Amino acid sequence: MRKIFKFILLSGILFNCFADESISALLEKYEQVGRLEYKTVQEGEGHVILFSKEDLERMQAYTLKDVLKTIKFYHVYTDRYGRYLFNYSLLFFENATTIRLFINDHEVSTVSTRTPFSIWDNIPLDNIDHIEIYLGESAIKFGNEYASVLIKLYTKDPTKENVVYTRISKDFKKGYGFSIYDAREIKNNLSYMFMFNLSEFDRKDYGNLSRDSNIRYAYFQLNYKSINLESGYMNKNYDAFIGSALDNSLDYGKVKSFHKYISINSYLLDDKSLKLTFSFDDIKFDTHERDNTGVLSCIPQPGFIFKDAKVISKEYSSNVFIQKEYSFKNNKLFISGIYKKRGYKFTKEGNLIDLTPFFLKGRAEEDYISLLAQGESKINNKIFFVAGIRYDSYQRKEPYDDIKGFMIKAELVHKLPRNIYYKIFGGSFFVPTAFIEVASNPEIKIQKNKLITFELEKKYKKGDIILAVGKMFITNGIYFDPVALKFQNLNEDLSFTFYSIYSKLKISKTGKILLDIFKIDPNKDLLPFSSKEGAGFHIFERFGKIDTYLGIIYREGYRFWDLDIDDGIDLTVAVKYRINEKLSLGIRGENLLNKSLEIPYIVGLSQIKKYPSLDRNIYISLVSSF
Amino acid sequence: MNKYIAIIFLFLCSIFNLHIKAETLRSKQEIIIEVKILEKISVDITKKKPAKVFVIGYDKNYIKKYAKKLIVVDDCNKADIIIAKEEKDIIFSSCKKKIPGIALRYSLLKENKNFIGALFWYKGRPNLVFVSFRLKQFQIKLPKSYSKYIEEQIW
Repeated sequence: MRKIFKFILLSGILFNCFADESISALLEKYEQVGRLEYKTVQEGEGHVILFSKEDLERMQAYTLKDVLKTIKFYHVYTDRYGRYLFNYSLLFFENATTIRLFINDHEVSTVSTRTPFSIWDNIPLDNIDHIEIYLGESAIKFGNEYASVLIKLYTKDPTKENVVYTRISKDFKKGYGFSIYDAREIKNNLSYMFMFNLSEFDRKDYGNLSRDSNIRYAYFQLNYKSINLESGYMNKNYDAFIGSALDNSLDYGKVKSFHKYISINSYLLDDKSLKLTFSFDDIKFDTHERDNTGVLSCIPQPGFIFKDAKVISKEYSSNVFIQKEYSFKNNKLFISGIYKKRGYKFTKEGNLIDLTPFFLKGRAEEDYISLLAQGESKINNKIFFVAGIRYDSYQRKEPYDDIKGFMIKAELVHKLPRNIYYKIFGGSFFVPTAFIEVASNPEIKIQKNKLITFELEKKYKKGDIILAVGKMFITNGIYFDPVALKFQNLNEDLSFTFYSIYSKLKISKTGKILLDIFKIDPNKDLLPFSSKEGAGFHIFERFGKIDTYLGIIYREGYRFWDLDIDDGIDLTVAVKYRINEKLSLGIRGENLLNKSLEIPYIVGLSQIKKYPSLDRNIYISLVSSF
Repeated sequence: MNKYIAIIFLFLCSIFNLHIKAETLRSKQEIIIEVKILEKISVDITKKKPAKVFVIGYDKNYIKKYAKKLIVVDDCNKADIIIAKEEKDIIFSSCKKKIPGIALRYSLLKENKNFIGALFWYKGRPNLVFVSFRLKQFQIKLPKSYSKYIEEQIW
């Protein structure tokens, strides 16, 4: 739908260029068409939520969690190891295996647990230009595996930066953050970006339970003509919070982890239609837990009891991705192939007894192959059609079974009179099991999803309103059973209907209001694990040299077995004073009402405790660029 | 093993990239508007239609294709204005007459006093700057619509 808007906008811009326009109008249009999101947003890949550079700046969203907590239908929570996870509101997974996170074209995800969040939950956003979040499973052409949500972080274009940027942040506890990046065009067709971040996250302790963490992050990018080289390094050390302790007080728990990657991609033809990418990932977790009543295990748990458990997990992934686009007058055909070879190895130290049948024995490998064909057709000026099919194959060594399957999707966008659009989407997908899921339960089956959605959009001069309704059918639904402490399939088919209203209203030249309301209605209350309703209200405005943002996120309370979880309200306020072109001072308060949604944890064998997903905190940041 | 694959990949990319045209990663729309801005600036500075431009380090074909009021010349002595993205002082010094220049990189404005202004990207936004004392040196008077882009000094 936005593709059509984009076409109209660009046509208008180009047409007007030939008129004798003022220099300021031309510069404004130059900025608009130079924006990175014009080149990156793929409307055919589903419902996109876009956070522009200005949005991120005004929200003072300096880490990924600050953005993800605002996404409708989803919630951010803290897992047993004190890490921020991001998952569908209806479900409470111990792991988030179907959320895919990309930094430009590179996916960052662990191999054994297939989640990006165990390391990348607090990735700093200082060098990020914009964020695209694709909801609803339809994103299949980014070189990704099955994704219930696909998050794409696009770094700023060094040729358009030409700056050294620094940020120093301090919160009202013991946390701090420091970022520096240098991005510039050295000469024609040669540019680079280097970024470094050092952060300490001091979170509230509960007794002897701590979820403090610190990160060291480095990122490098070099662009020569159409070759792009990128490398990232994230080192995260954190306290294990509840961890796998059998009671509610882990005596000692520390996790040291890193993920480093290198990615090289290149366009091989003048028309940019053929792109080849090679990348390599190296990941390590070093987990040490000690508890007098027992530790179930490390890196999540199939249940065996040790009092002192030290486990090291090493993981790797080698990836090749080739994509080719054929463009015709009104049609496009996109084909791609992916090959990944990846694996993990667990080693244990100390007096761990090898009781677990195969999880802690710990070595696994797989070859992943994916082939995709997707067509996009502009049937006429009013109708746009997308259809895609993908074949995925996971060849795994014993004791893991191979997985093969197809995904198909189709989408129709129709423009009606009076700036009204509707979009119909349908697809059939399968959710491959992650190693961790099979390890905890060898009998687990592949989850299969079918999805239908309908969206109606009315565009006004000052904004737009979108009504969406959809239905999801799930067979063999995979969930984490917090009592059995393993992943399970639901015995019954699950379906749920979801509704949402989204509205954007421009209130001034520099201000806007965003509103979203959603509701999820499952056919059965099989999973009383999280909110079924929620809403978000966000207002952005600029007053002279002062940028302001106010956001309220509401998530409905629920009952988790016999424990009541209250409604969650997260109020975030950010004010930034731009001292001059090169210096700004900002203050940001998060969860100011201290009423963010609480998350239940099963501790011990039958005890349930709840802890807030977010802390109340205030951050002061000084940003300079020279 | 992975290192060898990476090396082969880099080698193949390098070979393929030898024939890839410069600036292919920018969108056509962006280039068109950029040329339109350069065209407007050049005409407003020189007060000539068409204005003759001498280009350094910038794709001449863009100007030939998208600017109706500019003519690209190969001899700087025949030019009314110079548009440059690279520092090649020798070209300025080889010109018999003193010709004003527009830089497409801010550093050029600092380095060479023949540049009267610059169109460049900074912090993700396009910037247009003219230096008042350089304009005076070349006896150039810009229309009022440019007044907010004229600065007293170079940063």
